[in-house]
Amino acid sequence: MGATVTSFYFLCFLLCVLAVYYISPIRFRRVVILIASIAYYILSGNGLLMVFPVVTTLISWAGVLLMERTEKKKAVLVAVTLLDLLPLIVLKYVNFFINTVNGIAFAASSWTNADPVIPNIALAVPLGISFYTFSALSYTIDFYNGTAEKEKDYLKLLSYVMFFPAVLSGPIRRYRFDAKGLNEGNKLDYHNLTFGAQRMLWGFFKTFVISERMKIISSRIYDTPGVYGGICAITGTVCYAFELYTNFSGCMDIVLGISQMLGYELPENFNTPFFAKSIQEFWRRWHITLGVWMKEYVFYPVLRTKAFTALNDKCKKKYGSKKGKQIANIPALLILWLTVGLWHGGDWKYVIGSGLLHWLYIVCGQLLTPYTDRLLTFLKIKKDAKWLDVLRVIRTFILVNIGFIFFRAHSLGESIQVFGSMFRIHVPVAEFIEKLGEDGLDWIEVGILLISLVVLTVVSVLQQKGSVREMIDKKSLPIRWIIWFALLFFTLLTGYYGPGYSAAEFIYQGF
Amino acid sequence: MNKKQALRLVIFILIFFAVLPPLTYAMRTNGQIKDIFTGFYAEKKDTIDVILIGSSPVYPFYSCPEIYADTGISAYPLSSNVQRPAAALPLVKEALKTQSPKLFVFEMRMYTMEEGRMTENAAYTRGVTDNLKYSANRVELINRLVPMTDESGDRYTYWFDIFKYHSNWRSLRLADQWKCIFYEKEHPLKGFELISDVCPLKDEDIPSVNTEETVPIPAKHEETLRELLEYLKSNDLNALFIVSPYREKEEEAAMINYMRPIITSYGYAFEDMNESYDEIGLDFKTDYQDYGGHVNINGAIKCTKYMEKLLSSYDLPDHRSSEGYASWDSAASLFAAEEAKAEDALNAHIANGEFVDIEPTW
Repeated sequence: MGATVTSFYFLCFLLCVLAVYYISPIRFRRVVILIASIAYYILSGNGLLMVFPVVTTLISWAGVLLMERTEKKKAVLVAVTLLDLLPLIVLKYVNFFINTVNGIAFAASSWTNADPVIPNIALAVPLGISFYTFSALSYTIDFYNGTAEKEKDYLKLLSYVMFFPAVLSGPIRRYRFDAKGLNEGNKLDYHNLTFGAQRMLWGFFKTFVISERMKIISSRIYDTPGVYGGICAITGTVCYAFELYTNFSGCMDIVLGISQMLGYELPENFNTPFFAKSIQEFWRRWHITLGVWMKEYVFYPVLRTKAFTALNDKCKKKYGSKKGKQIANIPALLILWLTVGLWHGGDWKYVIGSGLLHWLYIVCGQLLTPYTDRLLTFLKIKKDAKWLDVLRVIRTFILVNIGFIFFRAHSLGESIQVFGSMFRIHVPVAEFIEKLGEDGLDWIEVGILLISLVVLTVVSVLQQKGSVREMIDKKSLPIRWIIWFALLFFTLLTGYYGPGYSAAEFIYQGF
Repeated sequence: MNKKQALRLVIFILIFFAVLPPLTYAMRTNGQIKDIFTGFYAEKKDTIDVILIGSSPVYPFYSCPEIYADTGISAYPLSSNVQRPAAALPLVKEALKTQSPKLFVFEMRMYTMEEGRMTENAAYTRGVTDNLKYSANRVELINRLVPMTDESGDRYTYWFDIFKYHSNWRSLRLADQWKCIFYEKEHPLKGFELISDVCPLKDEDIPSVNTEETVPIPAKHEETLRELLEYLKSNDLNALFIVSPYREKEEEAAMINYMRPIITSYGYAFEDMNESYDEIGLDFKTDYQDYGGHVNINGAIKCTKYMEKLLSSYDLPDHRSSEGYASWDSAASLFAAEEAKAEDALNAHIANGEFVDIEPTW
């Protein structure tokens, strides 16, 4: 069937699930979800690897049972956390560790010995390992914190952990918020069904029409790093930002749409992130569930450790309450962003581009704020001036794009190469445009892309005022249908899918 | 969900599925084969006497406007390139939905070819599957031609070919594509293709096969052939089986020998035109467009005359000046005009030594 939620066979699978789900008596509907989730995991090519999520869930479930019966709750929590994380660490990061050792050995041998000290290990990584591991972990931690009830039924917990729309690409769920309703069996609801389908369609539009076209531009830059610098490399990087956004948020629209069709609400993962005025705000709008999960289950627990409490007290005494807290938070933030970077992948380009760089932005931002405030006062500029907000949005977008360079490039070296090439002045722009034409992006395709971007922008602006689907729903039936049919057929005709196109793989799928 | 909402949902879905087939039809890749099939569907109900089914040795070989001009018989090819034998039966069924032909003519060259060679290029399969209207026969055709084990993972695109052809959306700017929204667009030459190219065979390559040997055709084809014969017999349909003249190999001739008694045992006539080069008057130096594989206009005229002779054995009506055959009269007139031009062009090619430069496929 393939793992991607945009495949034809997945859509057939979904139709079957929806039909069986709503035909079944309400009390059996949770069983339908569980069977569908297991079937999806197996059919998506994971087969025997399904043992991993099943065992991870079992560990979390058994851990909670044990916690209930023992005084050593913390020890059980630590043990469960380590056991749950063990497959993730071993399968995803063992080669990262090996490559790092090899890199150090290579450097130590004065860059002469090209042979790796330790060869890489070929490991089959279960798809969505971090998504299901985090979902399972949140159950144990929530119970430990006293914010969630014990789940007696292991299968109900498994159903939550392996919920098929979300298991491979998120959003990352927190048990105490996101397990509700899944095992209760939902009634067939017109609003949920239609709104869910509409959201799926919007996701298809973003992925097939925008993201896949943007990919042509970004690939030309990143698959031949350094060849086209200057404005071409900058364009390629900006296009990658839109490619990644429309790809990932498009995937989330599909996933959340599917979930809504089943009457179950998943947490939002995006909220027009490119409108963010600061890096902190960006992370409250981009991959929201990762940020929330990390803050709640990594950052706060780190801050609550004895070492950090002591550091906090010390800094407050030395620098005052506000500044002291800020300074004390810097190492905790470092741990947080290191974890975020590592979550994105076992490679230094992720650690730097999606982690440490953002830590640096935030820390610098915090430390520089008093000075920038003073400068604004000196220049008699109001802090809440609209034009200043526009500049802040542009600044944040540029900073985020620097991080995306690392994320998109094939290696740390290539990311530096692409970044460096951006400062070139004389670049073969005409050749770049010609090559894009050869890659399939001629002027008509660019026209389609621009029209689509206008639609995306209008919708994004409207989203600031509320749900666009609700707005459309208030229009008369002919207007509504014209809008949805137009989007449907526009996507159907101009989308990049089917034979002749590489299937739209979701960039964040299988993390 | 209340009844009104459910009804609204159903109507929305119905509108979508009502728009989808015409849109797909319009976007299917334009070209000769699409024109042949849309032309067939555009024919008035029960107006065709003879339907020719088979591969590329059909539509450039037999000029249906010429047959009509000479005999008044209306014939039409349901032909596509490298059309696999398994396609014949669904095509017969599809033809019978709108026509009541008095004779089916089956071209048998593909029965001598291994199935594997015919599936190398998906375009050959799509040539027939993607040129039928959506119907149960099309479903049967896909099931017969595209195995469940299709490794490309694209089997669904045969069922819903919008997945394949949506990227042709730019072709919607062509008025001709919009004329196909019901997959009915009259073919001005009733499916015939005029070709004025020449590609002469060398003397040593001119076929002179004369064998009594028999070699079994591939088992799958034999099974298909027997199934077709059973169907024709049980539905009381008349048929003629032919092999159009070409540069045949000895083994192929032996396979043709193998097929003959199977077909005749069902009471149907079998005509291997390779046995009648002289009677047809074929010249492998001037009558073929590709080293003896397919005829040009010179060869087509000769093969058409021979086909007319074969058809004269059947009781087929003369529709000339009959009501409802105006398009056939037009096709005959157009063909007469085009034929003259094509022959002039072909003669010029021969006189100037301008021959098609292609790689021989044998």
